[in-house]
Amino acid sequence: MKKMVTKKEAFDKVRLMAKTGGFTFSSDLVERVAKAYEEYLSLLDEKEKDITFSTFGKTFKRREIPELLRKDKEFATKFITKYLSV
Amino acid sequence: MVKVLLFSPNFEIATERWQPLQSQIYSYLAQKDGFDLDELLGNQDTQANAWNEAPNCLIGVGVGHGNDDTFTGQNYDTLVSVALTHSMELFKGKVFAPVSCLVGNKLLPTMAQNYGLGAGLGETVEYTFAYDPNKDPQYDEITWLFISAEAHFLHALALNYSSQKAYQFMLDAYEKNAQRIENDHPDIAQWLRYDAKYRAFFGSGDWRVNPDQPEPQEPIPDPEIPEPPSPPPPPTPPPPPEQDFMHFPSYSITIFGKKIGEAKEEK
Repeated sequence: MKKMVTKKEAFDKVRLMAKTGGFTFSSDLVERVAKAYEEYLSLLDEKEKDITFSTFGKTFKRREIPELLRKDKEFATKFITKYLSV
Repeated sequence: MVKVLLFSPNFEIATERWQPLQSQIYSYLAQKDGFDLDELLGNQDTQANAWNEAPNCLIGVGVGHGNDDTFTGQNYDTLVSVALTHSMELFKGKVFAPVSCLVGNKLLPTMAQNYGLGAGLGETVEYTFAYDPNKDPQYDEITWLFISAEAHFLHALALNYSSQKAYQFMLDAYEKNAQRIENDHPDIAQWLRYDAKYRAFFGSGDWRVNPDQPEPQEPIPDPEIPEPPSPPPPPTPPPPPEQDFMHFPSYSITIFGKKIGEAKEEK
């Protein structure tokens, strides 16, 4: 029987993905983090995905984060090197 | 009585979401800890008012947009800026601890090094908070986690603890709130830790509201900031008017366009 993944475990995986980049910031790393974040999002209900963050001069919903990571390099850099590295 | 200047702009999504809970929490603390709150709310949060009120206050806290050089109020009105010498002296010998992006990179360090700032806090990255758009801001327990943690700093200062102890007390509160939601919202816990990590301290760690009085020796008491109340239930629609099906004033029955029955109430 497959073990149910908790939200915390799923988010820990997002953080782990960011760490695998080491000092190399690449589009491959961004994609791995975006995919891990999508897996985390899949555990949330629709209202939880609406939770909104105000940061980096932007306001965005949780559900928009994977797309932002893929499309906005400055956002991806700050998200991975600052936020996820805490 | 200690007078505290509270910056409370309210003009775009970030400040609109933050200000209502900030006002509630700091009003509660003013009553509990016995300080006088001078709130620059909404359109009152202007340069003229800030410059006028700051000389009467010992501590300045609250929210506002900012960058490396500048802290702003309502509609981005410049309140404190490295380009405005007078503004840099507003908190000479006092505490200035705005919740604002990036001001910890240049504005706060310059105030501490060159303009006699007593003590202060400033974020060296973009301060981040979360909110639930499905809730009215005053009932948002997600945003409450950020503001209530931040308010621990003023609570400890008001009780005459040193600025360094107050700072550590506040950082602990961010961590406590992060642990509290770690399982349900691990990404928000991460934002709380991110804000705390980049919330830098400036000035003297020995600054106290009343240096003539001894610093309390007991641990700083929990401010016991009440969580936001539950939103009121939506109003129940009025019941439909009772109808007496046996006593319509008049009716008619039509089938396939042909009226086959009619009755009128007798008067």
